[in-house]
Amino acid sequence: MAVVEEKKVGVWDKLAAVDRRWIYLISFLMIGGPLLFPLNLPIGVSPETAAIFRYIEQMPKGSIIALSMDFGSPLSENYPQARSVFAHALKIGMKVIIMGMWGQGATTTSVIMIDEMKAYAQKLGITAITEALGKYGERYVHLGLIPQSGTGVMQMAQVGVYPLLFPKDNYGNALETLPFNKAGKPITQFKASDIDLLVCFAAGTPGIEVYREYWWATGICKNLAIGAVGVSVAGYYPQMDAKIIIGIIPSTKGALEYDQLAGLVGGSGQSFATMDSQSLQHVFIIILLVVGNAGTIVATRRKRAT
Amino acid sequence: MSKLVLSDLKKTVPMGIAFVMGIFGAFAYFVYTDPTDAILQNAIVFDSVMGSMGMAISLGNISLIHGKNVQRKRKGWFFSTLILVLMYFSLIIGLGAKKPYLGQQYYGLFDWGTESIGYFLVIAIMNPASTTVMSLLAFYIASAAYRAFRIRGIDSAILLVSGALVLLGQAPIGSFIFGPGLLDLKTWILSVPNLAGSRGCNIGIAVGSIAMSIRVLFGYERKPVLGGLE
Amino acid sequence: MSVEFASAIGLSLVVLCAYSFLYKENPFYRIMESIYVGSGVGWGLATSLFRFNQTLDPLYKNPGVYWWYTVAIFLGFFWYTYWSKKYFFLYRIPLSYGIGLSIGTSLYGVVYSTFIAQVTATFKGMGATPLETLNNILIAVGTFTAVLFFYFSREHTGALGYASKIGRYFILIFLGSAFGNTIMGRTALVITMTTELLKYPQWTMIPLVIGLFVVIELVKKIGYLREFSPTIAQAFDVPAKSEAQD
Repeated sequence: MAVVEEKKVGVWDKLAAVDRRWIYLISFLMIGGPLLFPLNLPIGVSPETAAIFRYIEQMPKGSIIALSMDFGSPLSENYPQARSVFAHALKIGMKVIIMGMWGQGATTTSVIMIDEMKAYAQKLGITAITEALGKYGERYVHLGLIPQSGTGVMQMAQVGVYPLLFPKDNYGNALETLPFNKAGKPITQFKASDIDLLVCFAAGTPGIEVYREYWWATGICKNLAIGAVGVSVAGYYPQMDAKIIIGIIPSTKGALEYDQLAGLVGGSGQSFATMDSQSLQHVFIIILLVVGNAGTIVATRRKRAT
Repeated sequence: MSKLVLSDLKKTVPMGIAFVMGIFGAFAYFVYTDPTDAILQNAIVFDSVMGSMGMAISLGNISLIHGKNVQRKRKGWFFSTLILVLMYFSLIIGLGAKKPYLGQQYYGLFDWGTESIGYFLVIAIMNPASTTVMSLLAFYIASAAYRAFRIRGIDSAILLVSGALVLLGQAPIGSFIFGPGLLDLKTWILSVPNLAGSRGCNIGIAVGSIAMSIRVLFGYERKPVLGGLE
Repeated sequence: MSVEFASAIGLSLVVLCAYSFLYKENPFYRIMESIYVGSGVGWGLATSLFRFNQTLDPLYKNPGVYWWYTVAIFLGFFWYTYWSKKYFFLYRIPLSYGIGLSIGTSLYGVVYSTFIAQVTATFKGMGATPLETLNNILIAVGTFTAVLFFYFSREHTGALGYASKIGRYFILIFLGSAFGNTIMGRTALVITMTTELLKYPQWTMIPLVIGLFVVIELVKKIGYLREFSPTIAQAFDVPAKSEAQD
């Protein structure tokens, strides 16, 4: 009768055979845990986000900031960034144009953002924002979707065609009826050069590259900034170094950093506890990398020994 | 000109159109004059109107593909039916809802009072579904970090070490454990070596796209203009 | 029940169905996927039609001046000859116009912003501090060698080989940074969806859906599902009776 040798199953063998669903479950716990029991870790501020904040702070009161809502739903990474910048801009007396090249972001999501901002400012008693939001058409205007995205942006760069591109704003008001102006110049005569800063919250294409190619490259508007999703953050550093963009707000973390700088807790709609979840998940992935590689080293040595 | 080019107008006319519009567009930008700019603006609007007319192609393609699945009762035909039903249903719903919908006056073409269903479709289905499907990648990366990412040489070591440092630096816990120096290190990695690598890639891509654009305009690459068929 | 309440319940069910894919592929995930794809396409087309109608405003107001919009609309119908073998060549007309114009108009921007501006910014010279000078040197060397990495007209041997190797390391650092930032971005999405799920009334669906999956797994183990409905059993990957007995 043959003798079957039982192979000893060590710790590393067990670890190598772990079902990936356990990894998914632990990831969920790492993310969900701090949301229920926050760790209150302090958040640092990255220089890229601070650059945009400082630039807006030094702009004269009444400057025009355009928010290009080039993303989809309010559940995306860009939404907290847009909320944060919108809140800050209104708080310090800037005028805001809301538009975008993505259908949902420029219309429905922007309306949600304005409504949530009204509730947020009222709840926290931020009178500067509440007053500004009460003056639609004067302090801020929601133009909606730029027709044909890149084509429309191109047209905005060359000729004052706002009435042609936006005969009505997103709420159906004729552009001529809005008192929005820059030092007396009405919005119907605006060109891209009248925008003092454009912040593009881009989840993909079309996005900042449209403004870069048609506004920055032609010299019409050289003040661009970007709120980027995590995937594309690393690729924007060359543009920041070449002074094409002023700064980068990276993902939801950047929105919270911006909140911290602007002194608007919850301005982005996110709580600081989300950064605790982010922290634990990042640490968990580092641990997985280390353990996975350690297991491979042990297995390789074992193979060499036998 | 070769005989092939002269005799086959079905290919030469589109290539000619692409060439003329491309050269004109580039000329109007590089040599800015008011008359050329005015013509360019009209050409751009013409393109936007013409391009918008193709919006129903996605509807047609999905109807054809999934319609065949349903007709021939292939595997998964139930899900194909679901796609087709929801597609036409949401199209009809979207054409309506002219009343104020989340503050918008003119969301639809007609007034069918379907704004509640439209709200449900957007808020309960489309928004969360797209975000959740994208977020699944976070779990796959965690699983891949454990099972697949191995340091086998200097190349993979550089990739993983820089990734790990950026990962730790981006989260507050990194500077909490290792001090503010980690945040500075992360910023340095992103602002210097990452910038150099990214810029090198961008320049390479730019040169490639300029070369490819010129090849397409001058007819050396015909597939983009001829719709993939030669 | 208000539409907001129904939407909250619907949101929670959609998210849980999507995350159920992490457990294993199941019909609930596929149903959610089909509903999402179908409604996304239909809704997108509806809003495109509405926006297109707005784009034609100048034609409605001033048909005498903007008569050429009708030519664009007529040529736009050629997109649909894509499905015709006989008239496919007409599809190339709007396609070639659009491609040609977009290439021409973007060429300036690409050349200036992506090429000239980047090359100019690479070579900065001495910095205010020694660290800044070192960084400027690293950026210049890294960018130059990374571009050399993509030079394939010569074999990467000798000096070019060493240079492209250094360039490869810089590109790997870029990819590593992108990897780190991608994890950050995707984790942020999970955090957003988890935050949504923990709100009321969304969280009430969590025990319901988990309970449903537990029941399905138990029923599968018992083997009742096969007898109840072979179609549903097949959808949930319950093996056939002969396979189960093996």
